Formats: sequence, C-alpha cells, structure tokens
Amino acid sequence: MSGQLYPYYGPVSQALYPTLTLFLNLAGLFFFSLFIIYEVTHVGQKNLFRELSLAGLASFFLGFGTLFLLLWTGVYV
Amino acid sequence: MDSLPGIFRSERNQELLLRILILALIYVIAFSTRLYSVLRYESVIHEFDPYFNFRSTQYLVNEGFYNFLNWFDEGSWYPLGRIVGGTVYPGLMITAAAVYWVLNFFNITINIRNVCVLLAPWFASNTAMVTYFLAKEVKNTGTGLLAAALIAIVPGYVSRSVAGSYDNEGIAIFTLLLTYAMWVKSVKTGSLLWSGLATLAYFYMVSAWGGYIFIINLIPLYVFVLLVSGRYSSRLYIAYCTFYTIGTLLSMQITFVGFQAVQSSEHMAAFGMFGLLQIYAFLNWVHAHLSNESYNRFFNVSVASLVGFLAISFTAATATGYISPWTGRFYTLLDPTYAKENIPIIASVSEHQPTTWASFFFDLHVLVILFPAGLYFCFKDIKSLGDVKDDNRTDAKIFIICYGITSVYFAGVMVRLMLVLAPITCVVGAIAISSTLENYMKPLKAKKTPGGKNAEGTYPMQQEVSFAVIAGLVVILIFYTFHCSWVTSEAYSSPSIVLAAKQNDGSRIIFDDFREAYRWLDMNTAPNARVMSWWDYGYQISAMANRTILVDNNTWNNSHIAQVGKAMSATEDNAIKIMRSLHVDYVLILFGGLTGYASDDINKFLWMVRIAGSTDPSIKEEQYFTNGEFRIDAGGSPVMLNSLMYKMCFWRFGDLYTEHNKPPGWDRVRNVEIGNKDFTLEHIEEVYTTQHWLVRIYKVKDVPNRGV
Amino acid sequence: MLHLCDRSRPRVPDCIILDQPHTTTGMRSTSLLLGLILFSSALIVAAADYDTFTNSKIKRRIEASTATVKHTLAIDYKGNGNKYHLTLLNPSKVAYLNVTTNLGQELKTTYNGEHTTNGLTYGSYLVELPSGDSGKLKVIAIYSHVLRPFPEKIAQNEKQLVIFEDNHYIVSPYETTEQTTTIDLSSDRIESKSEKSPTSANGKRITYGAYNNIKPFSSSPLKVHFENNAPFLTVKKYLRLVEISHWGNIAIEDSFDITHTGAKLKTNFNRAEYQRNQNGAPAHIAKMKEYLPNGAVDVYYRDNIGNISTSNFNENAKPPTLEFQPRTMLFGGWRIQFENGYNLPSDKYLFRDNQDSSRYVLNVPFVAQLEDAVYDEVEIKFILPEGVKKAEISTPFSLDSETIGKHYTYLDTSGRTTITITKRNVVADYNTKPFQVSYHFSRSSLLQEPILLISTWFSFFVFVMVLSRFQFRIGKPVVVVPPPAAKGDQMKTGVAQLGELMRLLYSSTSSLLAYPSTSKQL
Repeated sequence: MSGQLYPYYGPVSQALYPTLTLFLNLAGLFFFSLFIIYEVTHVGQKNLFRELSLAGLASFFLGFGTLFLLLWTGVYV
Repeated sequence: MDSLPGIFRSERNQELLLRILILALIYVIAFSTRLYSVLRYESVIHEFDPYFNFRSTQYLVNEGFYNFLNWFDEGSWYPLGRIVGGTVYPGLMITAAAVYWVLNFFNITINIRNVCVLLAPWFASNTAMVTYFLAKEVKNTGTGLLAAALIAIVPGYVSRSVAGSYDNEGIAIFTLLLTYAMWVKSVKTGSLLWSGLATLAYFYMVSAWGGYIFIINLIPLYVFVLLVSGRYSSRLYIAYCTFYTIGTLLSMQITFVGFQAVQSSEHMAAFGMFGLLQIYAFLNWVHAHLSNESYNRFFNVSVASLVGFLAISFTAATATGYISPWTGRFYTLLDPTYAKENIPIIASVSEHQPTTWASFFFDLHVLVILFPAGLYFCFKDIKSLGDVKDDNRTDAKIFIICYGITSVYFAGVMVRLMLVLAPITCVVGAIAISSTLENYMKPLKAKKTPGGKNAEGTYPMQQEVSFAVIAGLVVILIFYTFHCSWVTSEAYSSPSIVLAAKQNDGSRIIFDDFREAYRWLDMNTAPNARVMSWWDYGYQISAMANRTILVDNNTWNNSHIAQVGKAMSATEDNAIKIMRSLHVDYVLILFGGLTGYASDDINKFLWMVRIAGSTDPSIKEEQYFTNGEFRIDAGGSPVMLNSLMYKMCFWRFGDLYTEHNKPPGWDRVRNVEIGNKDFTLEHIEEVYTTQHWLVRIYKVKDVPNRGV
Repeated sequence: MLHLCDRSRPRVPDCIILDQPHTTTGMRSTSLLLGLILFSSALIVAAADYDTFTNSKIKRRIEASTATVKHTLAIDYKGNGNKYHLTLLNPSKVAYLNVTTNLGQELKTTYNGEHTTNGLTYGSYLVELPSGDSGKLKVIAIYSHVLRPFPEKIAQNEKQLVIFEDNHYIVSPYETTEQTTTIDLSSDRIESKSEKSPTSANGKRITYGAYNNIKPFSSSPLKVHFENNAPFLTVKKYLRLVEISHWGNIAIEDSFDITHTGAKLKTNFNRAEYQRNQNGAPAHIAKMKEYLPNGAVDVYYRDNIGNISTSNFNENAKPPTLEFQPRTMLFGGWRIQFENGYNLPSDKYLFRDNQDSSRYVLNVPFVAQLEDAVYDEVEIKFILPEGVKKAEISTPFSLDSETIGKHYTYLDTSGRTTITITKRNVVADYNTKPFQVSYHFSRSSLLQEPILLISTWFSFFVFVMVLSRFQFRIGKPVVVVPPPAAKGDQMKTGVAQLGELMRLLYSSTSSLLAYPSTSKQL
C-alpha cells in the first residue's frame, strides 16, 4: 500500500531565515527606492519597460523577503 | 560622492530619498517605542476603560454594526442596564473592527485582541505623518520632519497611546491633528476640497472622543482672531462656512452628540462665529457698493439692532433651558474649583487633578523651553495679508499660536489634557529649532573672508559661535531622546492588570491576582450571577469575568454608585438589606494589606463614604474618623471598624503574620496592626481569596429557610 | 524510517499497524453495529458468532490508585477456534482497551454491543485469536469515572474517600477453572470492603481468590471504600489543532476545559488555612504536568484573558516536560480552562512516501499527554497545507465522527483542507496506538505563497505607475515640462548603473580588506 517512509525536511533550514530576510528585504528596498526616484523625476516621458523591470525586480525580492520575514517571526504559512 | 551612480547625485533626488527614509524611520520608531509592555509582559489590554472598549469591539465584531448601534447592555448597571449605543463614542470600536475585517478579508487572521492592543501604536505612527504635513504647511519641510520626529516619542502622547492602551485618546489625537492639518491647508488655499476633507476629519474626531469640543471652540476662536486682526479673506470664509455647516450636520450623526450640537452651550461659540462671519462678509460686500459716509450710517444701525436681537434671543434660550448650560466636566475647565465642591465623582478621578510643574517637564522635557521660543518665531514671521512670497503661511502660524496658548491653559487645569498640549508643543518646538538651525547654518556655509575681515551685519567668530549653537541644539535633542525613552520604559509601560516586583535576589515576581479572581468568577459562579464591587473594577469584571455588575467606570448614575458606597460603608446588617434589594450574589473587593499594594479599597474608602453621603445626608465622613484622622487600628472609630468594607478586607487577616517582628494582622499599606480582629460574618461568606490576598470574593448567603 | 506492519509476517518492531483506511466521507463509527444485533437477555450469545473456550486460569489485577482504574487480565484459555468472546463490565466507561497475546502481538478486537445477563450489564468484544488450541491473552482495560467520591462533600483539609464497585468474579461467558483478583489501592486506609472468601488485605493490596470452577456470568458485587487523593482531573472538552506547514513546521495547540470531578468542598475555600499548610489539602489539584513530544519548542500557555506565567518548561528532559499551575487551584467541582501550544519540527513527525513522491504521512500523538487526565470529549482538527488532495485519516481505534472542511489563514486563496475527528472517553494511553493522516501534496504548491506575495507587491507598483500617469484636478490639465537635465543627472542604462554600483562596492570592500595590512606596516 505504501513504501518506506522518509522524514520530511523543509526546503529552507530554519537557521537561514534571519540572513535571508535581511538580504532579500534590503535588495527589495534598493530596487524600490530606484523605482520611486524614477517615478518622481521623470514626470514627462517614461520608459515603460524600465518601470516594469524595476517594479518586477523590487516585487520579486520584496515578495520573498516578506515570506521569510513571516517564517522568521513564527507565522509558518 | 563622484563614484555614486548618476541618479543619486542630484540634490533633489537625495533630498527626496532622505525625506522618505526619515519619514519611514519615524514611522517605525513611533510604533516600536510603544511596545515595551508587550515585550516585557504580553499582548494584553491595560487599565480599566480599555476593557470596556474591547468588550464593545468584540460585540461589534460578533453581532454586526446595527446591533452594536442599538445595543442595550443588561450586564452592567444592574438593574438599570446601559444604552451603550447611545452613550459611547463609536469611532474607536469601528476603527478597530474595520481594521480587523479588512485584514481578515485578505485572510490575515490576526485576532481581535491583538488588533485592539496594537491599534494605538499604529495610529501614533500615522499621527507623526500628519504632524509632518501640518508643520510643513506652517513653515517648511525641515520643520515638518522635526515635528514628526518630536511627536513620535513625546511622553505626553506616548502615555495614552502605548500598546495595550486601547482608549479613545489613541485615535483621538490622530483625528485631532488631521482635522487641524486639513483646516490649516483649507484656510491656506481656500479650496473646497481641503475644507471638505477637514469636515470629514472633524466627523471622524467627533466619533472618536469627547474632546472634539476643543476643536469646535478653537476654530471659531481662530476665525475671530483673524477677523479682529484684519486678516479676513475669502479663503477663510469658504473654509469656515463649509466646516461649520457640514461639520455640525455630520457631528449630529453620532448618537451620543445628537442635538447637543445645536443646543448645548459648548457649541454656541461656533454658531455665533458662523453668524458673525456672515455679517462681516455682508458688511464687506455692502461697503464695496456704498460711499464711506452712507456705509458708516448703515453699519451703526444694522450692528446695533442685530446685537440687541441676538442678546435677547440668546438670553431667552438659555433661560428657558432650550440651550443647555455647560456640563460639569467642561465647566470644570473654566472653573477648576467647581467639581471639588459639587461633583465628587469627577473630583475623585486622579486624571482630573490640576497639573504640577513636574508633570509638565516629565511629559514634555525640553519642549517646555522651546515652546515660548517657537511662539516668538511664529510672531516674528508674520507677514501682511496678500504677501505673495508668504504663500499664506501667516494664517497658519496664527492658528498655531491660538492652539498653543489655549492648550497650555487647559493642560494646566487637568492632567489628562497634557495629551492635547503635547502635539502643539512638538510643532512649535520644531519651529523654534528649525528657525535657529536655519539662522546658524548660513554662516557655516559662507566662506570665510580673507584676513578675518567681517562682512556687514556679522560679528566676530561667527562660524565658531554657529558651530557651538548647533552643537548645543543637537545635544539638547539627544537628551530629549534619552528622556523620552526612559520615561516610556519606566513610567508608561505597565499593564496595571499584572503587577511585577523585584525580589531580594533580583528575580521578578508577578502578581496576577486580578485575572486569577476574574477567572474564578467566570469559571465557578452561575452565568447570571451579579457581582457588587466599587465602580473602578466594573469594566474589568464585565470583560474578563463576564458577569453582571452593579456599577462601572462609566459613572453615569451617581445615586446608584451612592447605593453601593452606602452598602460598603454600613454595618453588615444594614448592608445586607441593600444587597438583597439589589439582588447581589457576590461581592468583590481589593485588599493590599498583605502585599503592600496601595490602591486598594480601604484607601478608596473615604471616597465611597463621600459619594454615599452626597445622596444620603445621614452618612457623615466624620463618623469614620477619630480626631480627624482616618485610622483602622485599635484607635479607629467603631463605625469604621464595623463597616462591611473593613470586615470584608480583614476577615481572617488577624491571624496572619505579614512581617517580621510585627504582631499578627499587620497591615502593610497603612503600617498599623488592625483594630478589630475577632469578628464573625453573618450574612456573607468568603468564597475565594487570591494568592496574595489582593482580591477577595464573598458570597451573599441565601435567606435562611426558617424565620428567626 | 517507519514502515507498515504486514499482518502475514511476524511482528517487526517499530512498524505501524494500520486499520483499513477510512473513506473520507461518511461515518466510520462502529457504533453503527450497535443497533444491528440484539440478544435476548437470558440466553448466552449465539454460538454462531463466537467459538467455545474454557478459561483455565484468569489473573486479574485492578489498579485503583489514580482517578482511572486499570484492569489487567491475564487469561489462559483452552479450546478450538479463533473467535474469543471477551466481556467487560460497564462498557460505556471503558476508555481504553488493548488485547494482545502474552508475547505482545496485538489482536483485533471488535465491540459487539452491550448486553445484560444474570443482572450483569456487560459489553461483548470479539477477539480474533491466532490459530491454536490454547494460548494466553493479555487484556488491558482502563475505566474512567468508575470511582465515586463518598462522602460527596469534604472539608478543605480532609482526605478524599472513594467507592469502587465491581464483581468478585471475573465476568466471562466461559467457565473459569481458577481466577484471582488483586486490587492495588493508593493508600492502606480502607474504610470498608466486601468479603467473599478467600479475601485478604495486605497494606495497599486486597486479594480476592483464588476462586475455582466459576460458572459463566456469575455475579457477586464487589465494593471497596478507600482513600484516594489522586487528582480527579477530567477534561470535559478537549480541542486540538494540528497545523502542518511544508516549510518545515507542525504547530499544535491544545485547548483544555478541566473540571475536578472529585469530592466537592463542604464549607467554603479558606485561603488562610490553605496557605498555612498547602499539603494539608490533599484532594485538590494545584499543579499539572504535561509531557510534550520530542523536539517541542516555542511552548506557550495562556487562556482567553492572557498569558499565564506560572509554568516551567524543561526541554532537556526526556520527554520534554511542561509543569504548570492553573490560574486558580481546583477543588471538587471547580473548573478551569486554558490553552497550550508548541511547534514541532517536521522531520520527526511528517514523512514522505518514497514510492509515491507526492504522498505525505503525519504521525503525531493522539491527545496531549497530560498526567492523570481523562478526556470526556476529544475533537482534533488537522489543518493541512493549501493545495492538498486526497486527505485521509486511518486509526486503529474507532472514531465518533470524521469531517472534511476548509480553514482560511495567512496567504490562503482557496483555503486549507481540514480533517476534524471526534471521540468520546479517551485516556492518554491512546498515544501508544499510532494513527496516520495522509495526503497528496505537490512540492510546487509550496511556491503559491511567494508568488502571491510577489504579485501583491507588483500590483502595488502598478498602482503607483497608474497614479503617476493621471492628474486629479478639476480644470485645465497641467502641462508638464520636464526639467532641464542637470549636470550629472543623466540616467544611464540600468546595466551601466549596476556596474557602477558593483564597482563602488568592490572598491569599498577592497579598501576595508586593505586596512589591516596597512596597520601592520605601522
């Protein structure tokens, strides 16, 4: 009916949560600030590709950063 | 600097980034500094009033909005009940419930207790942002940032918005500053949009706190000041008319305010100002169309008749009672001695006492000194009406001056109103610091002339003096930060539902007696049991023990509280009649004699006697004194030693040894040996006493089956 | 590595015995059988269901030192067949039943309803024996709520006396050649006991027997009135939440509603007397002890008005022990309610099947191991991760109900599947009978959470982009003239800027690394 059972380990070890949170969030905030500066300074003409790429990078890093922040603080989603 | 990427090199971008970074840090700091008690103890609601707010929020979340607005609470003020929907400012509960619903809609399942505990710190962060906006409108961005930083940690505000302090003031200060910021902006721009926003903010304020009276009296006062100083403009007219009309209509939507907005004396100033503004505008318009002579005649005739008419109608309205006079609580602000003589309940609340000098410094630190300096700078920067470079900031500065002076007066009358003073001292202090820094930064940037020759209007050693002044200001601000953190940590972060003390070996001992007693009541008594206690603990018993109570912190019915006071201070035989008539099942009292807890019921006993005496003249305070002294030892008056409160507090205490080398029955709060040790209780029996004897619960015995 | 036992082979240690997996819909309660079979009261059970045996020797040991009474029966039987009819008194109070051979092999036992013969109300159990002529059975039955406090009300410092009622003869449908009963009590103070010779009492132990040639269903009431100050801790309602996260954590939260079901207080509670001599109130509960599973961390203990600080967690003990005191102590009839929770690492309790790579199996204890606790009503809810298919539960014992539901919490869109099971009358010994929750979960479903977060952040950025492109004012739109490019404000291409940033980082790092060498030169 079922074969042998092996213990299940989570994909990321708990000891890595603090480091991952910090670095991912810092990278996300860096791209976030680049995005904000672009928005504020280029009020006339805008390069859509540039905006979207900055937004994409920022949201990628911030998304993972938020996830590891949640895991680090004990909200095991 | 040259190796930075191009976008970071421009000053404008640097300034923008710096501003966003500073505001983000202020946001985080304002939230974090209020978390001491959550980190040291737990996430729990503090004090007494927040428990009622928490219970109402739970009711709102469980039963729905309309059931909350129509809620009649039979569980408090037995047998009268309380119309909660009509006697509460719902803004706080609705805000917390809205936050909870929004979060749970996105499946962020934070439970309602945590939302309530952390609502005040979050709103404190928002207050800092609004203060930035307000100060930016008054002066410039630098002032705004400084004001936001100061208000994020000022102890006067932290004291009422710490995590766990789920009380109206937590969101009221945010709404107060929001209203004022929108108002200042609307007077500055004369735009209908900003006036509308100011009105909506005012509506939010009315729903949040009874202190909205301050807004509805300050703004008319400000309009009056502008009129008198010759700064009438169409911007002012638009702003005030929108604000008063729609604001009053909106404020009447709150059931607790209702028609008071047009009928009570506290709102008459706004109404009068509204009328005066119309007259002023009308006269201005007429003046534009008539010659000076005819205008003067017209002016004299119309003003005289109008003033006469208004005086008669106002006197008639007040005399017939259509316009209700000032209520006791607000009348005390004008005449501080009123409450002490006439309304003991208001006088007994410790927050209503006048403020001491020490409190001012404790709550504001260096802002006490910067406040007059800032007022000076406000006066100094006043430009005439129509000055284009000024961008109408002078009107904003006059508002700051009005707000500052009135709030200083009120803060001096009542300790609780330090809360209203704190934000404006932050803004004014920021103006002072910002102006000083501006003045002394200029010489630092200027190049030194060769040969030490001074340019015109300067003085020797200008750069060194500037450097010293700026360094001094920085040092003062650093001291301010240290003081604020220390005060927050030591004085304003205790949950008061849990007491902690340090033992001799340094370890912490926790007194959780209150919750122990409430839990016992909840678990081991009948669900419809009625508990009698002094009104201080009513909200907590309702919220944590979930039992019907007789009187609570709302203190709306003085004679009911007097009944309870009478029962507590009478002999057991007389008290049992009152208790049976009120269907009391259990009595709960606080007793600090074993642990040394000083806020127990024996120390509050005289207030019970006074309040009881205010309705029953046969109870005289002097009966409980011996030679003018309040004593509970062998020399205490027999009336005191035989009162129900005495017996309940000291039942079986006479055999306890509380301290070395002291006789048994030594009361560690009053530091005497109790007088009456061997007595019996006939009509009540002890059912529970907590671990450190802090809370004692007694049960009222049933009437015996057979007659005596 | 755990593997499943194969019934056809001899029992291997460390293998898990599974009953047939339950289908995920419908009730799998054996109480359905109760209504089906009815027997007349005078007749012995129809021979078609059971085989005939004789009991050559039964030794019964009753341990009545705690609030639960444990009967251990060592039965030597003789006869042909493999369907043994086991009968036990008071079947509704049987909290735990385990039938094994004397070598430890577990035997399948089915409950066949309650019957009355000769004035005795008993429960019939069908035990499937291994084939053979004779053999030995070992029956462990734990009864709850059979000790009745008498007197029902005692003073605060009095000792508690309870009455235990049973039968002198061991109830059996077969003839018994020899039987002995020993009762181990908690103290040597015996108020009264029923006599049936030969009876002997020695300190804490009463021996009834040996009785010879006892007919089936012989009745002779037994009654012992003795002192028992053990904590009568009854958990009237127990709720357990097991939340599984595939990031490597299992969160367990237990909610207890405890009542002291011993003798009530005659007079009122007196704190002065209690503090003078805490050991003088022998029958009250002031401390509780719970044994947590290995690896438990982040333990919390609170109730609905806040955290309770009177607890001590010893994580180095084996097993980890949580000693705690409830907010108020418990005397007879008093009640308390609290919650307890902890996190477990998934590598000890969650397993994946190497044959079916998307199948996972959860193996946690059934109820909390609270010392001396009897659970009246147990409800356990397993919250499985989002995206789980084919959730199943299989237990070696019967369950009262089993339902599948949905639960919504952080970062959920479609909700998490939950399995809720209920059972009545449980004791902690059930933790020795492992049960399994299994489900299918694809590893890529784990990515749903970060992708949700990323898309939320991205929508925020798109919102800002949209906002900056619109002008919200009444009147003529403002024509924006881009400011003249200031010197140094050139927007280089993103790659070039990143390159500059890298150069900056490199130069600063190299200067940092170069610093120690320069200091050495000094």
